[in-house]
Amino acid sequence: MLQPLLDNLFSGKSPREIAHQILNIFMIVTSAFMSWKALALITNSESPIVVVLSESMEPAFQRGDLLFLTLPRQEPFIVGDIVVYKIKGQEIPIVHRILKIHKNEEDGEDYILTKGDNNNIDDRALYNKDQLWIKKSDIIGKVKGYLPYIGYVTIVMSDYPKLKYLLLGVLTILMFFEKEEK
Amino acid sequence: MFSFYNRGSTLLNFLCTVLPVLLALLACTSPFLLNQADPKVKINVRNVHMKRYSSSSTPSNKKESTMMKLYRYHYPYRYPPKGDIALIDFDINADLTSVFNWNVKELFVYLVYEFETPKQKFNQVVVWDDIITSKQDAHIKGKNVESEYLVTALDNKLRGISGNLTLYWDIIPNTGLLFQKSKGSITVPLQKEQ
Repeated sequence: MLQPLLDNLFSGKSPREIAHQILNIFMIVTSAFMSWKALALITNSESPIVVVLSESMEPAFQRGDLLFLTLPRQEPFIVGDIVVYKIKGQEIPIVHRILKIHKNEEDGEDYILTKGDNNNIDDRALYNKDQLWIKKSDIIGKVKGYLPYIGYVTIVMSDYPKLKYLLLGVLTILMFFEKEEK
Repeated sequence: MFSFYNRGSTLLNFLCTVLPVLLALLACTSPFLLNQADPKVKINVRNVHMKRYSSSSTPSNKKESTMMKLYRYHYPYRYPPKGDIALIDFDINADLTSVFNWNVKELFVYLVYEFETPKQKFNQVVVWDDIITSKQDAHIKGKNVESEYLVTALDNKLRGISGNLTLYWDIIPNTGLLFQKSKGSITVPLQKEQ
């Protein structure tokens, strides 16, 4: 059953060439993964590139804009920094600006309150019930760089999952049928 | 020889090379242009209103009722705790026109009150902010402006504290790195007794 499929995909190729092509595909996937992880290491942020999903920071950031984050250990947070944070028990990270910050000597913690530029009130209504502050551990990164529009592709993909699978399928097939330059 | 596919592919390739290079060049000009900017900032404090809030307190004037309303908004899920709150009225004359260049999408201008309490050596609170998206609007002038956000402390004690009021602006580019600048710091003591 597998033999006809292989013959079809790799017509007139030796097993060595087939293995080479499959390895090539793995190379692409693993190097993408490796660069992502390397970037995470360099920036010290678990997710160094994020796409803006909400309108709460307009007109600075629109839906689909790409943000580059860093989280250097030595660099303190100050008011006005745009941070990406994730509330415990909630899935979606939020990109908002720091409105208040109190550095407590006793426990060495930062007590941070955030607000979206486009929102009328601060973020306490977004935090967990009875949570008044976010802390350093909630923060994924500080926004350092900005590139407009590019991330809209991922929004479209997550809105229409079928499109994502279609694109992935087409890409995989194209990779298999790639003619090697001789 | 030149099929539709070939032409399309070449065009796309060209676009994918030239556009990033142009964007990178644009982003690289930003630090130099921002260095040349010469913003002028003048801030003057008109009045500092202080109130000791408790659930039974009643506002004695319009300002106090504004402050109490702001304080209640600050605690969406519960009654606000007892504590000191302060609201600053100020004059501002900030000419940020020169900060604008071709890679500035927006200036987020904010006034920060920075102070020290016995237990928290570093406290910063934004008391007022403004979004500027064009060069024409970049000269901010205001007389007796009421701040939008309250000054509060982590342990809700503000009596006798002295701090600095500074104007900051965050520069959001069309593409590239974000920058933060500040100017015009003045000392603002809060009252000891009421």
